[in-house]
Amino acid sequence: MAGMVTLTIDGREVTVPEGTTILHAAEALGIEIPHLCYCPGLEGTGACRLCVVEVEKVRGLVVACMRRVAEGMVVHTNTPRVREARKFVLELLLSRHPGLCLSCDKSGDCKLQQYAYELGIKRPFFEVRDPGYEVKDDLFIVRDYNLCILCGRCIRVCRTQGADILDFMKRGIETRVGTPLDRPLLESGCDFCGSCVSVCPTGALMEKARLGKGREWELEKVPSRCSYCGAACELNYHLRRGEIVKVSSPRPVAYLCARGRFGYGYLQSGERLTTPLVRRGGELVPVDWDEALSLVAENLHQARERYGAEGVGGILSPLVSCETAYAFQKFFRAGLRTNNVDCGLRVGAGLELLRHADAVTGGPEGYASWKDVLEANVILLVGDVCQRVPATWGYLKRAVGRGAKLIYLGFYKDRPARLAHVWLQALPGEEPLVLARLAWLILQKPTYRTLAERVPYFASFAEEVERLARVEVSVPEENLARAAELWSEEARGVLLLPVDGVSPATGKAALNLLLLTGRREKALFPTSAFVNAQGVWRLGGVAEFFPGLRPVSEAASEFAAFWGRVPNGTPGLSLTAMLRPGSPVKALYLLGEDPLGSYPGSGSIAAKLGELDFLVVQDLTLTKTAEKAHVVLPLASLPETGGTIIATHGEKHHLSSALSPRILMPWQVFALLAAKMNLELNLSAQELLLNEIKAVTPEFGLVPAERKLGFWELGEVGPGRGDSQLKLTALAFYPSFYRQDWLKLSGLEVLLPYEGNFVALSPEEELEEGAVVEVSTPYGAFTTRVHLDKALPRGVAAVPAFSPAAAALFPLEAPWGSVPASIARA
Amino acid sequence: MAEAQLCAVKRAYLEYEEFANSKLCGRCLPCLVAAPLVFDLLNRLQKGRANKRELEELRFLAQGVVLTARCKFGQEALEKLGKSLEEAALEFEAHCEGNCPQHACPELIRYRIDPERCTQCDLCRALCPTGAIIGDPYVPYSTDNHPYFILAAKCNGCGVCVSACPENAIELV
Repeated sequence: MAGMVTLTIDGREVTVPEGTTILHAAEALGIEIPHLCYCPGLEGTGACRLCVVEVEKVRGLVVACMRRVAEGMVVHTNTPRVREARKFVLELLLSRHPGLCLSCDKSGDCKLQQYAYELGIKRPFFEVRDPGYEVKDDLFIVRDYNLCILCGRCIRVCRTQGADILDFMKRGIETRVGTPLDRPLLESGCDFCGSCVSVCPTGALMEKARLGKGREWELEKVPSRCSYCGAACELNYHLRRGEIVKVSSPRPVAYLCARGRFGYGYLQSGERLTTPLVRRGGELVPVDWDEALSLVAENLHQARERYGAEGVGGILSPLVSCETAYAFQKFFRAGLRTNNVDCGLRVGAGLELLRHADAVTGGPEGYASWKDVLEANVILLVGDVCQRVPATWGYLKRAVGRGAKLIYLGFYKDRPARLAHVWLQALPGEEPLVLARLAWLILQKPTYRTLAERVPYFASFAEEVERLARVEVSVPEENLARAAELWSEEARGVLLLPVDGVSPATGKAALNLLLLTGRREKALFPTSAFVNAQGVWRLGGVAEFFPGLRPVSEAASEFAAFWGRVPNGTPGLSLTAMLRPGSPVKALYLLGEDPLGSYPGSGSIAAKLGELDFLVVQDLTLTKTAEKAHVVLPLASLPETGGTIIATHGEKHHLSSALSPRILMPWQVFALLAAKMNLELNLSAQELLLNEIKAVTPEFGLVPAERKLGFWELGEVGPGRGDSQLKLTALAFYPSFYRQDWLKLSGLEVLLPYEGNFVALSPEEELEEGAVVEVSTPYGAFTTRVHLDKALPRGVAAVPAFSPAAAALFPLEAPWGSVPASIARA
Repeated sequence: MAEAQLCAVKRAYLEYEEFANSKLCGRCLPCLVAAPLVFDLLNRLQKGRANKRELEELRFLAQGVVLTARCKFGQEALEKLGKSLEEAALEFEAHCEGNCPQHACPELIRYRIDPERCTQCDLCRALCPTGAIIGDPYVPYSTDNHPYFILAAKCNGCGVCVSACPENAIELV
């Protein structure tokens, strides 16, 4: 067979592809060769010399993690000479490993310990010498380089997928691992992705929070998924007596960001609600479930009777499981017979763009996967994806390392800008113009013009592009030409699009580029800040669709058969319509949403909440919105409820309940409410809901949507260059998240300057770091501190997305792009 | 006189030091971790503070690094050490017992003053940097002046007294 090599390892023949290392070939036979510096998923360096094997006709021992197989090679992995060499290496390592396994937290998961056991080293041959380095007590991570065996895994993983801040310091016998100038991690620009901790084979790098909380064998490992952003990364919770002690990734190099690895504090915070609260005489007082639910049922029923279907509404969080979302919308649509059900995905352009994405790709089946990102030849990155969905950074860096060309469109000079082959620094609002200009440049090539002419609405598209391409933008012409060249000429292209973080025009312009170059399948990688955005909107979590994306007017009669109750046939109000002052909604149920804390337009939302007759908030903690509620119910978090989630890039996952909640599950709450209102809704168990979802919506609404293919009209796009007004934009700063209170409860806000309460400005502006200023926009004013950020261009100010500042300064209807702002000293 | 001569241990030390200062990179483990051990053991040998077991450790190091080090520099350095361990086995073993047969290791050198030849001129006592020599200068017709004597515990073997003695009365033991 071409490209295959046959060799013999320990007397057994194996055929593996050319270029395989001996270590992998042995793995294929089930022979384990000990290794320390080699880590699956990283390139080998052959430093530790533990994986040495004997190869016939080769003088000296060879390193199995580096040596590629050759035809007819005869390998012995366990000869006396090999064992002697391995024992020697371990003896050497033990000679400078002053750790005491008896009390080491890593004990049980330590490679050094494991191999010392396997090779039968009872007592160290050499006297143990303590290198005497100072233990570095950093944020989230403790670095004890006395226990370091200099395998270099942390350095390589940091280079491959992290912030690239670690390296060997000094030389020869003084070699050790360190950050630039040996400063603390936070000052060195660390992302705290914790990849280094994950790959460290000894106790040199450990999670600070786990120290003293139990050894490896005392921890119960529960697989789950991260419940922060739409990447829904796989992770394991390690529990001791029901408490999370640490979080690990399924494979050592699998990427988790700081939120995933260190941000679990919100799940077991003392602030979590445990009993319902009811407002009595202006105060929220704890009551039992029965009393609180009776009150909720009574008030919702009254509002429905008095104000009709328009008078009640529910808003649910895109951070809950499909089952919870389904139960919630069923309670409203079938129980209360109102279609006023919407979710936080409505804020921003996420909903609109996901629908358009379906039209391009034919449903989530056609989305690109992580593998497609890794194997792409050219990647177009739009906006602040890497801050919103940090996992993309890990994959992006690997992809570029493998030779992908990166085109980055964004004004913020962050790491992607340094990694990019072409950086299109469009100022806020210019993005659609730049994308239209790229389209125009590509259309100049006859091949692409012929191809594009077959796509519907070509004529109007060509006309619009022609018009927009004439608007002057601040991106240099040669960069545009280079980007157009790369995007059209490279074979496999992937578009990384933060659907909830760009304006609809930008999103549509980017999707047009996909259509233009004939990239319909496996070319779009949508991301969002919500773990279950896809599941919630496909299962009826938005006003205009019933589960399975059935339009309300058509589906009402259809669902009457399933649900045994005839739902309302008129489309409901969207979230923006419900939260607008003067809207007909009088009783509102918020499930896991904190509009006052995380939605833009907090001023008008507060006004609307004041108008309500009845407000129920069900959430993890007493949020800003919950403080205004009439009834507050505790909510079980996603790791507690488990259930089905669909990552934004279309992968469906079933999670088991990883943590045991001490409160009612959300669907149990709806079931009790339904019972109190004498409704038969069948909401009492997760399995029931899952079966019903399967019956009602084949494949969770992930079935290929009808392809309404065609170029989109961008509509109104912002002015080009030449606008001297200061532009304010909401930008995600790592690790900004939709629910800032989660970050606070988890202690992650320390990664942001001023704990996330700042306005970032270019150092060229005439203000100094830390100055207290008042930022005002047409939508509101906010007093905060100045943070000078070299990555921002002049004339652009940024507030962290989802922060109180962004909430006050942007309108709910259009939280994207930029708004004119003025900044004055307060 | 003492500086001019080299014993096998000292030679091995200097050779290894040269390697450590020039070629040793630290990018593969055996050299990197073995280096401080080799230095430590050779230092002890030169001071007569090593025992037979530590000599074994040195042999083990030499063999192991030759077997596992990545580059030929690292392998050769320890191969050389291994060779001298073998060729000058007796000399190394003598160091374990506190003797340097070549009288090259200052810490292992013992001097003695021959009272027959000593004229009690006091020159050696005045010059000794560590104050290891005691004795009274010659006073004619006195009977209770003490003869000159070297305190082994204080002597660092520098040999100043040997070259200074006008009577060649100080000799190696």
